[in-house]
Amino acid sequence: MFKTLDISTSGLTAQRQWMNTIAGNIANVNTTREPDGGSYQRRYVNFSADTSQSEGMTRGVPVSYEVKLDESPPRMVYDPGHPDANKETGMVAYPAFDVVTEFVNAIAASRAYEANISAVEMSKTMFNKSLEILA
Amino acid sequence: MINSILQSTTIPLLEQVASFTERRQEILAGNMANINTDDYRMRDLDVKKFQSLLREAIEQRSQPKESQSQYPVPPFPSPGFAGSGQTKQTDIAELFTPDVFEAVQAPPYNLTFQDGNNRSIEEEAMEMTKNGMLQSYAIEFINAQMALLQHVISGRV
Repeated sequence: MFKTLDISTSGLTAQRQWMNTIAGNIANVNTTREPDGGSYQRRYVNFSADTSQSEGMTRGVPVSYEVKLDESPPRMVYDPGHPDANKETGMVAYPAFDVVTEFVNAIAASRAYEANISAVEMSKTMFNKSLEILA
Repeated sequence: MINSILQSTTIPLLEQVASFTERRQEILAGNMANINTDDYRMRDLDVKKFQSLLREAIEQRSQPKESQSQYPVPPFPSPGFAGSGQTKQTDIAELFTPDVFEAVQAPPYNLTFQDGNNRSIEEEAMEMTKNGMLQSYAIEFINAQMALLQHVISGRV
């Protein structure tokens, strides 16, 4: 009976993790130095339906997520005076994404989070209404 | 006599469910309050054990016991036949020993984040919702059964 709430919870957790990765990307938009060399690589989240626990097509399907690294090449800027510039070419590697895309993703993540909360509220109302059969 | 009247309903079982969920709600609220505490590990009551005890209590009810009275016990399973009701009440109370109501260091869900902690505000809120709803249901059912008993006693609908 409470499986519906568990499914919505998986959605909430996944959206929150997406928001975390977006916040990390926005914070590191100008990071040119990482501990193991190179510039900051954008993280993104892969969502997939977790069909391991549902019996065929009959039950609702929770979501699972995976944080991945974006492998696209960095944006090169010519700046010989920068401490992270390449010694021969004078190019600095900046992360290849822009803040605007990340903000739009953040709006999508927060709306999806709110949609999951609405689903939880509706489920709770339905459960409480079922008690009116007794009264 | 009151005990044997109550045996014909499911009120003793529901009473245990209501006590258990009330105690569990306290523990879960404590988890929620400590959501930002660094070294805090989630606590919970032993839900599986409680459910198995509940199942056992239901099994006991549906089996006719050896009655100590002179009235014949009917062959069909009947909850709380007159004369055997007294023993059933104590059995249920004995079944749910106090250690079921003691908190253990176990998370109410399986989740591990990268820094090794297992706290998630959504999961905690969801567990509290489910627990609270279960308690509401138990109390509603107790209400309904009490109303039924009152109808039977007063003879009026």
